Amino acid sequence: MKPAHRPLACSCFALLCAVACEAPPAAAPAKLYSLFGLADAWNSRALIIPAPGLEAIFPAGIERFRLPWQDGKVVARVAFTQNKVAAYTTTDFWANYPAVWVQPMYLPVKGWNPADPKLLYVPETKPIFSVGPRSAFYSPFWQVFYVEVSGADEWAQYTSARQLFEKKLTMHAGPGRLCALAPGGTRVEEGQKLGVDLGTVGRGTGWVDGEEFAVLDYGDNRFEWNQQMEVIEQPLFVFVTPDESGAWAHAGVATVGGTGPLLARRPAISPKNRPLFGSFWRLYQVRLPPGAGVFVPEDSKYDGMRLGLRIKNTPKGMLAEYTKPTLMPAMDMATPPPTREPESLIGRVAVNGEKCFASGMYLADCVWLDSQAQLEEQIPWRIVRTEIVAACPFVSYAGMPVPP
Amino acid sequence: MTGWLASLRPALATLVLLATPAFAQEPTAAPAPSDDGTDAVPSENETLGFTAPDQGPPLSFGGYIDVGFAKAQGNGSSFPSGDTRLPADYGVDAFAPAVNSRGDVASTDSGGRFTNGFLPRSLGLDGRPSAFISTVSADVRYQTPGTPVMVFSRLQLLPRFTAAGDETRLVVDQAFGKLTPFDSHELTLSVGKFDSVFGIEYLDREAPIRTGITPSLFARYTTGTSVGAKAFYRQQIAPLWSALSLNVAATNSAPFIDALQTSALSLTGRPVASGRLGYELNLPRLQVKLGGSAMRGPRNDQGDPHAQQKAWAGDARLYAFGLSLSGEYVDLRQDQGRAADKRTPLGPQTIPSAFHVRGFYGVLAYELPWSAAVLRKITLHGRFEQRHHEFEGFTPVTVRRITAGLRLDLWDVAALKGEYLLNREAAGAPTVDNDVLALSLIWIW
Repeated sequence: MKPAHRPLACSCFALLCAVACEAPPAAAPAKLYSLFGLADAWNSRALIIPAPGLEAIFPAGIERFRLPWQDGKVVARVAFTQNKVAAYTTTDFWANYPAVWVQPMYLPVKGWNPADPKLLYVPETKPIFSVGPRSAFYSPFWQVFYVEVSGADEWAQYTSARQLFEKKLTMHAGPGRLCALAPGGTRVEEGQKLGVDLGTVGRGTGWVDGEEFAVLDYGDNRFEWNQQMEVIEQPLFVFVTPDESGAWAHAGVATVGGTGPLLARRPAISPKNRPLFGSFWRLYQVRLPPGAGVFVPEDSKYDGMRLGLRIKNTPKGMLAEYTKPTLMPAMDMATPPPTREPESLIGRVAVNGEKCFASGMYLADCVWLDSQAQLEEQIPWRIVRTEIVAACPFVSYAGMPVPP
Repeated sequence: MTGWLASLRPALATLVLLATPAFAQEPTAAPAPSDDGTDAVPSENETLGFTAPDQGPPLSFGGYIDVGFAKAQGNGSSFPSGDTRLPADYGVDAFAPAVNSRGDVASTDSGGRFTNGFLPRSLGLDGRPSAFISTVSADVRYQTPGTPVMVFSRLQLLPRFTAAGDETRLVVDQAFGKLTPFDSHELTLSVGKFDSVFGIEYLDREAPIRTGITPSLFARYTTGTSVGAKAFYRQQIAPLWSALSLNVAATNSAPFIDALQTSALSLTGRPVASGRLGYELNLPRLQVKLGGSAMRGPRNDQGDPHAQQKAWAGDARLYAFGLSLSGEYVDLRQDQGRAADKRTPLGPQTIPSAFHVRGFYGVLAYELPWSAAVLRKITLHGRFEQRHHEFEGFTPVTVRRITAGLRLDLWDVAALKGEYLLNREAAGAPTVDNDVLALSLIWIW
């Protein structure tokens, strides 16, 4: 090497080797939690499941008993919406996703009847889905495409969307349908939960690229979407209190379902008591103020409800539990009657619970946080948007099972 | 003649008119292309051989103009109507209907469906036949007198008009300084923005050099230029008529084209390493070149340094008696990024999905053994390729493509090329009409 060139050559190598390896700050993780992942979490038997991206609600991870999939069953959760009792199940969480999209699914019909496509539906057949649960773009929100075939025998030949296109079969766009792909054998909780009648969710199987999956069918028209095929969200209010580390964490009390964008006061869209909303939710923290309380009578039959309530006083002391005997038998007729039957108030959060539970007014002066309107009116400054969205279709709405 | 072929008549007439006056001119003194066809445009690829300090003027200029014409079937894109899966670009190969040497396609119109950054650049032709300026390329090379340092830059003007309006861009394709520290060894060190070191297709990515017009279905992963540093070394083994070479680089991005990953800066703070080990046998009438390439580093279309991409490739080239046969196998894997922060030079995207692609191409070219005064070379060529890709959880897609074409070299300053691309969706993607007829006239200066 020419001596004069050595320093320059060395400098080049130094530059080559001295590339800075300082990583930039990590962006918030984007993660989809499908029923498959949630089932894996349950089966891992870990008491606390790490949940990157869900820290706004589960800062230390999801406690096992809060998992939506437990021992082969999708668990129903009681909630409130528009001051009424409801229940939902959770099939998927998305953390830090910019949107969740509607994907196509295909159902066979023997011909085309635009007035009522289902009249010509080919029974005893399996739907074909276009995107599987391992994709980051999987969602249980589908748009139905009716595919004209000669009958069940022809349809049985098809197990992937590609085959349908290859055959150039005639297709017709249909309604939205909520179908969660699930691990084999998964069922959805049915019957009653805390006195709430739960709907019966269809079970079956369907195809994704030749692979058969279990399907939980919540039915048609359970959600809305826009022109970009993005599912339209509604707010789901999750009460949070500080955990041992001081981070806001799920308080363990029933959530409140909204009906439209925050502060928009959109009324619920629920023709014939069948909610067109309430399947895809944006989670909002509701940071419970000091003095708020949840009404849970001391009766042992509510022990299950008590499980997981984050009710102990923390350094910030937020949520009080009502532990007095049930009020019904001892009601003092001299006092004003309660505005609602106490049984119907169980599980609700009162913003002034600490006072009203102890006031002797038998809950009549409690201010309940059981609707979007109430939350926006009472404590709007304590409502904080999170980057978590979830598929939580109602299985009970306004006292009626969904689907019926 | 079909309707669209009929529509080519004016363009063919134009190309003939463009070429005809040239026959009356004297041949220029442009250097004859080497076996690799590389001297027509100074590509500055070290694998082409040792570049001794230029004995000519220290400052030199060069470049070319690539005038194209193309007609694609359908709407010019690979997106079939009726397929509403999202992202729309996951279930097809949007790069298939390429119309020029840059790999730009006739259209990327997904019909309003959401896409996620797996798109090439578009000329916006849709299904219409149209002439266009593909590239106006200008090179400046400066060999510092009395030093082993050479400075090179290549600026390219890309006139474009798409549905979004005028999208003409000026691109710094290459800009680097190269140091040749030894007189007695083929060792060069380059710093700046330079050619890929991965595989072989980057060697002929510029329009004057490539025998055909369009790049292979794998060029998007192997031919991009990037910013960083690289070193090339070659050891001749004279008794065996052979040579071994090593080309390594540390760059901001993988050697992907700019539509997929930016090379302008590192989004993760960590470099991507790539390299190729090559062997060549140079007999008087037979040349064989073999190589293996590897690449590893963070995905530079998102911010998570732990989301890796790794690729390997094997390549082979054979030249004998006017016949050239070359081929390459490529395998690439990308991890899923941690956040929804994917961004490419085409704009912000969403989730950087896990991705795997593999496949191969082979090119057979034959230079007819005669030439006229004006018509310096006539080359027939054909290419077959198969590509299989899979985004995690999405339907895997396999496509095949057959390309057939003809190249006429006029003097040493122009090349007229034509080719037809037959695109076929072999598995996973609905069949779509996206074959392409492409013509290209290149003026070299």
